[in-house]
Amino acid sequence: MGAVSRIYSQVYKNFKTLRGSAFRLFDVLAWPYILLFSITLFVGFVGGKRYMDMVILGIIGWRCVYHLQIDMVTSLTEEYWNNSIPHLMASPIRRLEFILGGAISGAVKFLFVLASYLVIGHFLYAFRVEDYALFATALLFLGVFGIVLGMISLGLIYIFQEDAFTVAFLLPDVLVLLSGVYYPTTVFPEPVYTLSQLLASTYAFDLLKAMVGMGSVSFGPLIILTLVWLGIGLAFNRLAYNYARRRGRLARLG
Amino acid sequence: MSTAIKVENLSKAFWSGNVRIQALDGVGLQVEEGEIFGLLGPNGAGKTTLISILCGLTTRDSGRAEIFGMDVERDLPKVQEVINVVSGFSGVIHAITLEEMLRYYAMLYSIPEPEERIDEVLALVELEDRRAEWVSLFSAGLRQRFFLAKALLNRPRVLFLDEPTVGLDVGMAVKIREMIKRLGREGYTILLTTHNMFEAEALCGRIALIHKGRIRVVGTLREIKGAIREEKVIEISTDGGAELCEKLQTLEGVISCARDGGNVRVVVDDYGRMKNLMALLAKDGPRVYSIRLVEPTLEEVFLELTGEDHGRR
Repeated sequence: MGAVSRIYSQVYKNFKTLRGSAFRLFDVLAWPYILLFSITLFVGFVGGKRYMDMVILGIIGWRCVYHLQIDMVTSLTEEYWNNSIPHLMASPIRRLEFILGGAISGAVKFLFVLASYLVIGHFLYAFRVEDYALFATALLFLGVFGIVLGMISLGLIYIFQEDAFTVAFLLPDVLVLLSGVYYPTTVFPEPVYTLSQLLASTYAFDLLKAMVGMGSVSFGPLIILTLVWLGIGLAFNRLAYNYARRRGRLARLG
Repeated sequence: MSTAIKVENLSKAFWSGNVRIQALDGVGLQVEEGEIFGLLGPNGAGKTTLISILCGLTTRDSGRAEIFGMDVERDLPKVQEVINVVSGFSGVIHAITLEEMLRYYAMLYSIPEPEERIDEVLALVELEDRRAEWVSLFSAGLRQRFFLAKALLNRPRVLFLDEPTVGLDVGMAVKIREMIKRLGREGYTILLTTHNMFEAEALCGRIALIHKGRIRVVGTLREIKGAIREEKVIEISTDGGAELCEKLQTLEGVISCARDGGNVRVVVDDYGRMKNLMALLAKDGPRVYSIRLVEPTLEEVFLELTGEDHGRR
């Protein structure tokens, strides 16, 4: 019961702070639609229903990774910027409870954005999901990847403090682009292509592309790489947290 | 009555670039349940590092630190449930009302019946009528009262107050000190860090002086002051002159007597000699305006024990 209350505390905070932060509010109410229209208007101009569907699916996947990662990061940076980290860290909340709280609030925001994308896509571009099972599976794996990126981002902030903020905010976008969000990863030069094959998100985006006949379904590498990344994220977050405590950085955060 | 905080031979060093800074160097102290204990020292003395270790924000390099017998490393989850902290240096999350902020912290501490407890702590810090206002827009004093309310939510067995009145105006500092005194009367165990000597004198039963990561002395005010001055001085404001001094010097236990302006300074071997002095003055002495014990101030004690002269020159 205590763990549920502590996890919910982060969800509560992340929603209460929305109203006072244009940055966080725009993350749900503005940027998703700017991203959507900046690309769909172009694809609509050059033509091709199949490409339009692929782009919309790619953008949905992108926002999934982004929201799961960013709410974890802002859950910490909100406290950092307001200089209230010691009160959070001296409370009984555990490291993984904090991560889960951020992930849940990110998931709720993503579901809001997803619902609005489906409505907009349906009415403006005749977009519809053909295979909900595959769609949900792809988003589940992308969500887990977003959580992994969140754990890595938090770890970087524990170690490097505000020097890591820029990297933490860029990380999901860069890795999504490397994962072939709405294009095949074969467009990359060889070293970048190899790198992209090591990302679990590449295979999750492939699932989305497969829904419009433009990608392959490879569950083996998807599951294995997701587990590997999850392990890396958990281990790195733990090591970084312990390092920060040893160096007295949690007390000085903020 | 049990031991609330037990620290033994605690050490912690930090690196600043290539420079190793010994923040704590073999610190030992013991705080009993229900006590207001003062940790006094200048900036950088190690006060906040000690509190950070006790709260689980920082790990120790060596030594022991326990809260009610629980090790602050091994039993950290349990320790963090029974402590809470107020810091004079921290801020609050923007755009959240007082009531929402307390609800957030109540969730962090898994408080049962949170609304009831929120009402109670708001009444304790006299902020009931501010519950719908944003805490980030509060004045420094109101914010400290909020932090006190937040720190009381889980009825902590140990309350850490890190410079709770720093940066406050006189009126608000007095108010916060009154609240701390009231908490002490209610039985809370409080570890108060401050570099304000007056505050330590006003609030704390026992005090430890910390300097450069080492505890220099621990004890009651009387014990600490006695530690640096053997002689006991009684100052009498009086019309009497040399004749009075001669009479006083005949009393048992009086070591010396001298005129000092309008005062007579009597050095005795024990303050218990005051009774005899007063009897003599009452019998056939001159007019007496006041009598006081001349003790070193905590500031003098601190400077004496640390051998430093912070800005007195």
